[in-house]
Amino acid sequence: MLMSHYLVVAGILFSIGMFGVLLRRNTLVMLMCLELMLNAVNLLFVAFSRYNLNLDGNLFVFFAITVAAAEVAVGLAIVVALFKRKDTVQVDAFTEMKN
Amino acid sequence: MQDFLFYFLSALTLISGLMVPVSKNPVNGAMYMILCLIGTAGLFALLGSYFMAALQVLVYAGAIMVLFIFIIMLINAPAETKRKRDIPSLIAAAIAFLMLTVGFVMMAMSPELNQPMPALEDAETLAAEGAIPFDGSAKSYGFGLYGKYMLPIQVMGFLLLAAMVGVIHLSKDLHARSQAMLKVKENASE
Amino acid sequence: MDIETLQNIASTNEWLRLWPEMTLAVSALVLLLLDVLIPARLNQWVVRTGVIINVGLLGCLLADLWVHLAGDSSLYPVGTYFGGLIQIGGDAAWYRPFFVLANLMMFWIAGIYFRKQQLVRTEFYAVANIVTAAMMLLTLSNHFVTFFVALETITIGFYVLVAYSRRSNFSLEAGIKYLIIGGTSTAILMLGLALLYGIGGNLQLEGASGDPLLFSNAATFLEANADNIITKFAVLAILASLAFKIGLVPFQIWIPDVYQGAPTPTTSLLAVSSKAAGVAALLLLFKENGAFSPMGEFVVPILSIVTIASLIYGNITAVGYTNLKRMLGMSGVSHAGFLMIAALIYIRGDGVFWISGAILFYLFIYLLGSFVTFGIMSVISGDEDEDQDMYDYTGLYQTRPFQAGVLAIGVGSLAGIPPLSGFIAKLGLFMAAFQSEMYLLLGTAVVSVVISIYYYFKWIREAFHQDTALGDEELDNANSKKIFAAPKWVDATLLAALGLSIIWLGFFPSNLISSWSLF
Repeated sequence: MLMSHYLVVAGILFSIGMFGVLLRRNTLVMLMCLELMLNAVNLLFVAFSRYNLNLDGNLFVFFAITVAAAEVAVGLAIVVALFKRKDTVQVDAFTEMKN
Repeated sequence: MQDFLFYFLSALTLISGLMVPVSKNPVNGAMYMILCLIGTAGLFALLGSYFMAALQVLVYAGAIMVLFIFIIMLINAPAETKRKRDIPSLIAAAIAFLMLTVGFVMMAMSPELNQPMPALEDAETLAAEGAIPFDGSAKSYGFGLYGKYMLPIQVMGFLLLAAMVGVIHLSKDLHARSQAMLKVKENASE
Repeated sequence: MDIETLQNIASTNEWLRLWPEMTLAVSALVLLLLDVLIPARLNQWVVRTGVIINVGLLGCLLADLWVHLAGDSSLYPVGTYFGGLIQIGGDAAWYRPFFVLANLMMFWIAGIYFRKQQLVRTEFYAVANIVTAAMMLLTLSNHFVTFFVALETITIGFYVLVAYSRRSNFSLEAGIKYLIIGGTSTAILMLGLALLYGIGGNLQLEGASGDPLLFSNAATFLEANADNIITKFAVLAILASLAFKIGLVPFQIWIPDVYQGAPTPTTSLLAVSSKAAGVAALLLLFKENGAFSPMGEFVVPILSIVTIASLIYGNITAVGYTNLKRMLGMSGVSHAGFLMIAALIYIRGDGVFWISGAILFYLFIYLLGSFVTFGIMSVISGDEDEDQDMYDYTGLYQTRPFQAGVLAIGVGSLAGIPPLSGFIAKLGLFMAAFQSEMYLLLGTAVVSVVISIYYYFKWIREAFHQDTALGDEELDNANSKKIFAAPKWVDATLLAALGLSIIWLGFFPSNLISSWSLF
């Protein structure tokens, strides 16, 4: 298939992820949409890597997956700690800080 | 056959990706996410990166999403039943989605990207000089990662250390037992 | 890739050139190990070891800087290492001691903070050391992979540090908000890198190369292909992610909540080091032969709009806040605007050759002023770390004149009042802007200084306000907020030292100013 097809698929996936982060109020779903965005960029890297016949893109995906894993781990730890204290995972409830 | 596989896997990825932010129950969302990741792994395999496809399934779908599902089950939050229509953020999200999609489509129309994927056998000859030629084997991944990118790998080690230390600190509450005992005392004195 | 190429690359892996970063990273491991091995009654030695390592490192780095300034390049080697992943140049000699100094000051504030909070300490210092090491590595990068990895280590380290106070709702909320917004900025950065990689390796285009993420290759490619829409999108995406770290206007939504909720030492590190790392990375990208140097004309108009918006928005929002950390956060946005004026002059390369020295001087003065202010805030604050309000400081002068005086010096330096050194820093930027004929930015900057004086002085006025409700005999019956805490001798010494250096640099800045041209 053409490279541009892969670009469009990765682009739509990225847009769906951004849509989810802005729309949903459930922290867990927001984190999953964040992962969707990172996954879309991984697809873009591998596609470009194949198109340019260059292995660097695939190697970058290693680092990207590692960063995503670390971020998810820390994010879920914070969500669980918040849930233990506030009994909810909706971002709307996290409004203790005002002026 | 390759065309059909591409269309099938792309449709799988995009549709399950769309269901992740849309589904009401987070568990359903997680399941759709796993499906989306498997679709992406299929696309990786179609692109000739078999090692990456295996890595995606093992690490991303197999470890990260399993962690998500553990946490969702642990939290046992009820699905959002009555959600009042949050129009402003819906409009903002829709605008962002449209702008990004239009941007990507505009980028995809540029001529240098509208060529078919080159054949893998020509990898050695067609690659630029100074590049690591594309190769599906794990050996070239090893050479590339530990030869050229040795420093970022070591820094990644420290990133994972920082994340691990943070997660352990956030999850472990040393005084939980004494807090529980305090609560029992309070209840007893009432 | 065959064994020969591998061996050639591996021969350039000179790990000892990265000795400061490795020292800090290994010190994080040492701290964690000591925490386990040392018996409980000797616990304070863990933190003291951390402080000793940092002080020693700072001393060695300052000696390195001295050697570099003396012009003896045999002892301070310049070059690219690790197969092009790292470049060590003259500016590394300046940035490394800056970050270690910020780390040391943060250790001090964390010491005050942990005396008042029931939290485990060692993990904080360990993660902070790793974050500082990553900041030093960011300024050394010569390849976008190093750039990305260092930036992500900083970001994820900060997720942990912001959410550190695990029993406080504020801290955890700030952590989750920072994580989601920071994660989005990571995704945008990766999108930019993917597009740059893809289009830069495309052999049909002129200037493409085999390793498009190497800064020099990226520069060659961008010079030949500056009008390509994909290139523009990629550059904008990468700059957007840097703007998030610096705290410029479309990406500053996280600042008030995160600054307020995070523990005070984390806030101070975010305000000083994270901003400095972002600015240093920006300057690195637009250097003489840096990666984005051909995109200067494309980027300058967009960055000018962002700068003006940051200056205006930061100051106007800060007027409305009485919570001190939020106010310092938004005033930090306006400071970021000032730094961006200087960065724009640097990007345009208009012949103001001393501008990078002026930027570092501004950052250094900002470090001094910020840490004095955060130090006073930490000493005075009670158990509730998040509710530090301006009106808690009423009557500070009556009971603690030393602290009130030092607070006035610190805040005055941030506001840019002569004869304090903040004025000299801002004057340097204004002179550079005038010389570069950037009159609109200069006008906006002057207006924003006036607005900033208003809200900074509200705070100083509260501290020096005669609390007329209290007579002398009522002072003993006053509520606990009015009895301000006394600093320990370490805190008082450091506060006095910082305050005196702010005043001294305001009166005698010539030594440091003459070093601007040596940058």
